[in-house]
This record gives sequence, structure tokens and C-alpha cells, in this order.
Amino acid sequence: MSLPNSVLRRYTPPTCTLEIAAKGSPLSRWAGRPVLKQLRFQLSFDDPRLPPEEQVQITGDRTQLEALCEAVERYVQTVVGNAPTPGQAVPLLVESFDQLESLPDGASGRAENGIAVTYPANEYANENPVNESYGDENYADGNSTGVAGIHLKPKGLLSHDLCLGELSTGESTVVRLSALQLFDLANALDEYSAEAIALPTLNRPTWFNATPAWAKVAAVLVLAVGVSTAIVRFVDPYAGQPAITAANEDTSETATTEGIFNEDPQNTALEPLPSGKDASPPNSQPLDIPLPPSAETLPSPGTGLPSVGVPRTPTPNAPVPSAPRTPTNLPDVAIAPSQQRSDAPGAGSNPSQLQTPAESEAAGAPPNAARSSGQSDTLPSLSAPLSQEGGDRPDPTSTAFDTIPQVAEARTFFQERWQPPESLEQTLEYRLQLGADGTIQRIIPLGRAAGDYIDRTGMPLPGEPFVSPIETGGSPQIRIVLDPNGRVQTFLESP
Amino acid sequence: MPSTVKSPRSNAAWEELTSGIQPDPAQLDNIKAQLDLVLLALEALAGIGSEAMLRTAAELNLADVVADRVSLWRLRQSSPLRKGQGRKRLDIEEARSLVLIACHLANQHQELIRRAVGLLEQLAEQNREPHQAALLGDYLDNFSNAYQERMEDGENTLPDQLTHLALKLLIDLLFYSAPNGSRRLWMALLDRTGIAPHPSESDL
Repeated sequence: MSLPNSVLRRYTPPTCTLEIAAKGSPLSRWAGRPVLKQLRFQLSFDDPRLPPEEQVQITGDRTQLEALCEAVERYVQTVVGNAPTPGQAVPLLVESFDQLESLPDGASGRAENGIAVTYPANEYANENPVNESYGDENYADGNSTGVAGIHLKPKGLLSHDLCLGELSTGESTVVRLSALQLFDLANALDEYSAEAIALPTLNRPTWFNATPAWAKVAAVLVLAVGVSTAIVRFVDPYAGQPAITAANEDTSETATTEGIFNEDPQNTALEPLPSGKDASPPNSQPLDIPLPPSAETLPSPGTGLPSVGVPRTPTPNAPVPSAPRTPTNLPDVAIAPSQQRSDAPGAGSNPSQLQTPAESEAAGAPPNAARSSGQSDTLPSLSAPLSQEGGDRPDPTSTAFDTIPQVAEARTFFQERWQPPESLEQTLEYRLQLGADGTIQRIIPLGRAAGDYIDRTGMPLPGEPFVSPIETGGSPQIRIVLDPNGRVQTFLESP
Repeated sequence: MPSTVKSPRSNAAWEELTSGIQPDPAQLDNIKAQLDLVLLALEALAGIGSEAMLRTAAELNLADVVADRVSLWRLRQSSPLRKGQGRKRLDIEEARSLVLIACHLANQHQELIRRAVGLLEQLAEQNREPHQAALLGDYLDNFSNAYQERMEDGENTLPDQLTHLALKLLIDLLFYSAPNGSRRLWMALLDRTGIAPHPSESDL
């Protein structure tokens, strides 16, 4: 089928070409602008693997194009709506199913212990067997065929069959699409839909297309209205916007210079174009999948503490880890002159140079733990200058008896959980502000590495049980130092 | 390449899409687990760290929801799959923010995602293992390591299962990298959790 000569739009993602075209109408002369009818589209799948004679090319009218848009969009939504689980065993390509057994992602990967991602995979498999659903036509769009018989079927994770229905050409009724081809096709159709929405011609009243005679009369009317509204446009800057009246829409068509989409007379039942967009959800039978028990029974201590735990805005006392940072491997102790020492971004990234073990142990340990200060193997020479910095350091003259038992509890807490990742080379340091109930109120990672590795530390979330309640009340602040070698240090910063 | 800039119109439509949705706690758990996995896949493929995620949040004017590493970590830690006890409840606005961030990042790295999927297609056609391509091999290794390190069931999940999960996420990422990716991801999340989409979605 040959395309009309005037191509309006061409969408060219890497693997397909979608052209929208229409015939010029004699009405163009009367209307003084292009009036187009018989909108047609041509879709070429550009597959470099195929010889030119096997390249698939389909053409159709606007109704069919809309059906294609809808079918593809719904199908794509179904594809991504299929929740990934480790136990899901959909082969990449159905043809190579057997061979894929040998692939790591082959059909052997069925979860047997229910260690699914979001829900037990075996239950998922029982209720909706994966391979079955992927081979099922109904999987695609809830109906075996969409409008005009156009629909898609999955053939594994990476390939999809586009069944052309009415669009079938002599030799091809099904087009096999790779994931990339499907992606590109969906994008092209989506772009078309988005533009078609923007074109105000598509909501024109059906009478306009009833008969050619009507159309001619209408063209005269359009001309008359167009002239008058063109004048109106000088007065009313909004006259050119769509969705006011039919007459004004025509005016706006002039403004868009895109011409009028004069629909093929037999397609009288016109609807707004965005059919691909307003498709009802593709998965008409949403998977009703229970969550793992752990998810359902999870305590949610954080709910009552909406924002306490997180410093939202930078303040002098709440260093934000993403602040401009100094290199993480500081050769020297970085001390921001006008800040609390530990607030200097990056300073915390090498905290073993920042503190003297004797001091931190003495400050952080309960009385019976103070003796462990013997492990002073890190830069003791720095203690003198550091202690002069003051800031939020505990008073060097304070004794071990000044500390609170929560410091030791915190150390025990992290000693049980801290397993340094292999990739970690730096010390991680955090400042924790405790609530009177012993939970963490606020976590401040000191330095970039501390922020990056926070999810490996075993750090409790704000509001979670952490240490025993503070008998004396108040909200003490403690420092946690986690070494790459597995050592955990804690000490009190402020009572 | 399509622009990532959202028009005011589509933003408004997005607002409508998310408004009026009240997932129950179990559904939210599901959503946050899925979102965490999408971000994990992005991390594994493109080396996207918390820094880039925070920057994206700022670009998208979501800094009030995702202000710093701690808040980002808390959001992601809210996945029920993660190690550790106790979960912060992810609210719908936070979920929405993570959707926008993930899809923005996917769009930024669309070329890379596309290349990875293209390689996967080639290898699958030749019945070769995905690991044979360096890009895919690195991705699969990174993903598996991160999953095993951070997830509660990480140690018990078979390598085959992790590989399959990673590849499925990779293909999904491709579709999320489209200009309408955030809508797709959002609809997918609702779909998977059985939440009826908002009726006004047709406006998108």
C-alpha cells in the first residue's frame, strides 16, 4: 500500500521508523491552509540482521495506529508490571529454552525456599506459573486480541511477538521483536501519542467528516469562522488554545500550521487520540501476592518519629555529609577553624588520627572498661594538640566515672554487628544523638565514607531500640568509630 | 534522545496519578522493596552511588524528601528485604520521590542500559552466557555482591536466581529510562501490589 505523499511526522528511534502521513485535500485551496485527510501511518522495523526483502513494513489508518499504540503501551506496562523475583524463571528467549538451562539465568532458578524478593516465589509460581503465564496469550493484555486484532505475546524476557491482526501484510502476520525493538516501538508510538494530544484537530465533531459535501460546507464555515476568529485572536490571546469550541480549534490548527487531520469518512466515530495512554491497567488481574511474614510483622518504631532523626537542612551543628568535602584520605587532621572540630567534612573519614585511644576510651568506657585504654596504638602524639581544640570533645580532665553506661552498651551493640566490608579502607565515624529512652534520635555520619557505608554498619534506624534508657534524662551524644579491621570504639561527646 | 524535561502538564498529571492513592502497609512494603531493587540495579550497572542520587533529588526539587545520605539510607533501608530489624514506614510521597529519582537516573544512563540489553540479546541468541560480556559480567557481579551483602536472604539466594533477578531488572530499567518511565514504574508498582490506578491516569 503506498503512502500518501505528504509526511507529517517521522519518528526514528534506532530500530524502527514510524511515519505519519496524509493526503492533501482540495479543501486546502479553499481553506488557505493544508487540509489533510486519510491519515495513514507506516511503520518499518529496521532490523540489521534481516536482508532488505525481509524487513517488515506495515501500514494502516489512524484507527489501527491507535489500536497499535494501545496494544503496545498496555503490553509494555504488563511486562514491567511483572515483579522481578529471584525465583522467577522466565527464559530469555523461548526458542533457546533448552540451551538456556545452562545459562545462569536459565529455567533452573526456581525458588524452593520462598526466598523471594517481595513475596514467596514458590507461592507466586503456584498461583501463576511463570512459564505458563509467559506463554499465555492472555498474559499480554487481558484479552487475547486487542482492537483490530493487534496484540503482543511474550516469548521470554527478551523477545516478544507482535501479532499484527488487521495490519498483517501478505507475508507477515507476526513480527518478532527484541526487547530493544519493543522499547523503541513503544517510544515512537508514545511520542506520536504525545504529539497527537497536542494537536487540537482530533476532537473535531463527527459531522465534519460525515460526507464530502458536508466537508465542503464545513470548509466554507471553517474559512468564515477562521477569518473571524483570526480577528478574535488579535483581541483574545487565548483563542488559539484547544478545547474551547470547535471553531476555535480550527483556528488553532492554523496556528500550529500542521494542517487539518480530515479523517477518512468511514471512520466517523472519532475519539481523542491518547488511547495508548488512557489504557486501563494492563494487568486486569493484579497479582495478589502476600508479603513475606517478616515484612508483615515488622515493627515500625520509626512511624512515630517522622523527622527527628534526620537532619534536613545544614546547620552549623548538623553537618551534612554531602557538603563540599576535602579528600577523604587526609594527611593531616582537618579542622575547620570556626566549626566544631568533628564537623569538618571529611575530618571523620580518618578518625583514628583524630582521637587518642586513651582519651576516647577513658571518656567512652564505663568504669570497668576504662582499663582497656591500653590499646593506644594510634598516633598518641596528636592528643595534645587535639585536646586543645576544645569543641565538643569531652573535657580531657574528666574521669571515666563521668560517662554513662550507654556508651559501653553502644560499643557492645556494634561489636556484635560490625563486619567491615572488604572494600572498606577507611575508618567510619558517626555521631549519634540519643533520646532519653535510649533510642537514636539522630545519626550524623562524619565524612563521606561514613555516609556511603552507613547501610553496612548495622546502624539501627532512629527510633529503634538501641541502648538502655538514659536514667538522668537528657539526650547524650556519643561517637561511634568503626575501623576497617573490625574494631569498634565509642565515647561520649556530650552528656 | 528524548528529552527528560517534564512539562508542567505532565507534572500535573503525575500529581493526579499519585494523589488519592492510599496503599496499605503491606502494599507499601512491597513498593519499597521493589524500588530498592531498581536502585540496586542502577548502582550495579552504572556505579551510581548515593552522591548521584542525592544530586538527582536536588535537581528534581525533592531535597525536602531526600535531603542527605542518612535520609536516603533510611528510605532504602525501609525495604523489608534489607538486613536489620525495624523499618521506617515509607510514605507515598517518599515512594513517589524514589520513583522520580530512579527513572531520572535511568534516563541519564539510557545509553549504557541500552548497550547492556543489546549485549544480552546478542549473547542469548548465540546461547552464550551473559557473563561473557564484560559489561554484563561486571553488572551481574556487582548486583549479586550488593544483594548478598545487604539483603536478609542474600546468603541463601542461589546465584542463578540472583542472575535472573538482575537481568529482569536490567530489562525493566530500559523501559524506565524512557521519557514516560516514571509513569511506567509507578504503574508497575501499583500493579504489582494490586492497587487500582487512579482514574485520572488517562490524563497523562
